[in-house]
Amino acid sequence: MTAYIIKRVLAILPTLFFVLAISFFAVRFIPGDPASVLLGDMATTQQVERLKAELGLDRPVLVQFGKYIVRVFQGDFGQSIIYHLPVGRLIWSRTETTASLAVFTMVIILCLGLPAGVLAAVKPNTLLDQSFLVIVLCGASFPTFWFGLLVMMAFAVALRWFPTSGFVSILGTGNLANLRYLVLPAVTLGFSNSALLARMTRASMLEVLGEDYVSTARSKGLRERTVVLKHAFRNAAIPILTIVLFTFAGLLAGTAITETVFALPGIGLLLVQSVMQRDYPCIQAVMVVVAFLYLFISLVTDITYALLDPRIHYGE
Amino acid sequence: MRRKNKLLVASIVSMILIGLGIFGMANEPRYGGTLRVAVNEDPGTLDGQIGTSMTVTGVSLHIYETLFAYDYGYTPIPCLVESVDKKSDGLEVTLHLRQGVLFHNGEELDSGDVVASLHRWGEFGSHGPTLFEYVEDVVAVDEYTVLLTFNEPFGALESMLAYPNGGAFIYLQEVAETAGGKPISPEQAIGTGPYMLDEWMPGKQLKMVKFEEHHGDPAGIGIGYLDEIVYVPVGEAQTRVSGLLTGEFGHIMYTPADYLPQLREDERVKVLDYGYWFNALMMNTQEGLMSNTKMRQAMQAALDMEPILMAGWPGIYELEGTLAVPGSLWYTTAGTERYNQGNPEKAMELAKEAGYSGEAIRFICSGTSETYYNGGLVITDQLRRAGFNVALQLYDWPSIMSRRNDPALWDMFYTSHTVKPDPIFMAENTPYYPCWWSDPRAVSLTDELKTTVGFENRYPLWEQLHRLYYEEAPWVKTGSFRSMITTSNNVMGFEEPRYPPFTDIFTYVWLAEE
Repeated sequence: MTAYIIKRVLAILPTLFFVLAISFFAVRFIPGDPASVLLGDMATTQQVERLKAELGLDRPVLVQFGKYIVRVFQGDFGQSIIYHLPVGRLIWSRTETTASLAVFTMVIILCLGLPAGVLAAVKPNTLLDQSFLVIVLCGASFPTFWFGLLVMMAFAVALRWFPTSGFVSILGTGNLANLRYLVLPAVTLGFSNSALLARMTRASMLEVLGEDYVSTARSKGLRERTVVLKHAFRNAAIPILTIVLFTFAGLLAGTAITETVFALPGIGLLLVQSVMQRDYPCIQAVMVVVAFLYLFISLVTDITYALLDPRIHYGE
Repeated sequence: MRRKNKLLVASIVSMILIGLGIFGMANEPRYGGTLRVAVNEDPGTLDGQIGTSMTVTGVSLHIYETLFAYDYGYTPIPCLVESVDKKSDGLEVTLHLRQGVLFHNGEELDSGDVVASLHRWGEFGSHGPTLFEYVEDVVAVDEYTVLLTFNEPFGALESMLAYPNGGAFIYLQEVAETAGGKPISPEQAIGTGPYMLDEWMPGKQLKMVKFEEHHGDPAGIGIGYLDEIVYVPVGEAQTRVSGLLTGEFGHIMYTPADYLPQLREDERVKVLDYGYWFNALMMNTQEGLMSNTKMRQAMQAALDMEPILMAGWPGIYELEGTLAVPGSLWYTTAGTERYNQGNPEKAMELAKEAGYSGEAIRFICSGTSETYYNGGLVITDQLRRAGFNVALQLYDWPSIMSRRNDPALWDMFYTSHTVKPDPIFMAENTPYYPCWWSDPRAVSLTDELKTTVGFENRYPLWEQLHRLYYEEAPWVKTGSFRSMITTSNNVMGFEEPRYPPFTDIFTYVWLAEE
């Protein structure tokens, strides 16, 4: 297992390099550049070209890439062209928002999705199950953008229970009450994602509940709760775990739409703003961070499989 | 009884007088408070000399100052300048600076700062090169005196030095001398304005605090009543509107027109008329289909402007062909008989004369801005119904700004502009702005406008240029629209704006007691 983990960790590096290269070249081939953004609408062509030269953007793309990679290997991902800040610092400043939202949303997803899925599987084809399916369908169909605005207008504007937008640091102020800034975004994200989790949980549980060993457990006189939670759920957990961990990875990577709707200064919004402003170093660095998160979560998922299912061995 | 009546009358009169006093006090500017302003984007840079987005200009107007400043009627008033001496031939202008003006770091403004700032702006600023084409030199005569020498008289010097968009903001000498063409850093954003930069957390907020040592309000645009102004980037328009309704924001900017009816009906907010902008189809006069005057005239003839404006700017548009503010000194209707023709048959005749045979007209339009998108769809539909083959290409704004710099890639693009206080600011009519209109008559008239002194001599030139716009159609104005202020009811001051509507400025607003 140890050797397997080491091999996987080492494999992350070339993957990240590949992501870096793709993002570097991709952003330079889409229309738009940071010089035009900085100078604005009234800039002349000559002014834009002159600023591009000052920023080094007029050099051949391969030359720019070579210089950039040399700096990356020295641990320097560059400075934001727009904000004059090291991109590492910019990304770090957004981490608390995104991480807090991710954790809060996961709590909602797990508290709603798992019990709903288990209940629906235990009572299939009942009114409860049918109602659950309708809710799942709504969760899957509602666009996040639309649902977020709806939730905002109801609970922030009409009822004034929560703020409409923004985020105040919880770690910085030590004030847990600032969680209120995350309630509506977490509900927005949690609704659709818990529907997905519930559906997967139901499907996985139904498969397991039909197995012979479950019938055996029931015939031994075990309580239904023990049959469902100890025997069936544990065996249904592996596909559920995959959904949970990759959902978490997606939340950590930043949810651009929700962060834009609620003006949450997280990693997703940073990526959106960087793309809109063609802030090349920022875009590249965020893509690497996102790729790293997914690779890391993927490794954690594989390790967790082995812990859950003793039949799974790696590296043998 | 009589005594009781007298007492009653006296009580009522006293109450009325007290009430009037309170009412009067409520309308007096009140110091203090924090105004949170929701904007659609971060400023991106704090370098007001080279950044031309309205958010950059807005922030710059609080932190920095110019030598002259506009009042609401676009009249330039001395600001950092105390007085001006001009030689009769207009070739030498001496600026006497105000003394005792402090930068935010405590240093006093002197001629070195002004000379360095003007030189930097003259080389790299948005409008600086327009002025410096005629400037021989800018030198410091003494600590508070600056001499500008010209190779020809410049007819709109004060206006040029007051214009804020990419304007001649005055920086510290060491900042101006070392910045070059790159935008200055936030640490270098030190000005003499009534507010100073306190913190900028990109993507989160930009906070300005009142500069207590500000030198006063010579130009009448406000000394800063608020303690703090906080710009918060909120990209989604509905979120900005929601924040205004809940009171989380005291003011919001860039409110799409279709939210205005809802806001007008809400007693918590007010919607005020601020001024004019206009929108136009810019034509690529250098290359492609629109390099032919007849084709441009065809576009001009084809369009029925009202449906376009209703789609993009509902409730705030004006069907007006002039390129100046109605009622202003520069107002003219010369050539506007060609505006809003709505004649597709005539358009097709003109196109045939131009040799048009169905090639695709590449029309670049914003896909991310509701106003341009809606207006662009109607334009496309009208032209297609008239028989033109239109290839509508939707992009985000950075892509548009990049693509329009290459004349091989487009034929028309759609944009808006502020109404300019002086025709020489119309970058659209220069050979350098992406439509590249270099008609020798236009160039000659624009040069004459720059070097002619006196409004009575310059206005006829403007009329000729205005008529030429409509004859040659380097761009086709679709209409004007009102710039609206959307603010909380307790934000006072906008009822009597003191600055033209380039962008929202808060130096003269205050918060009423709630």
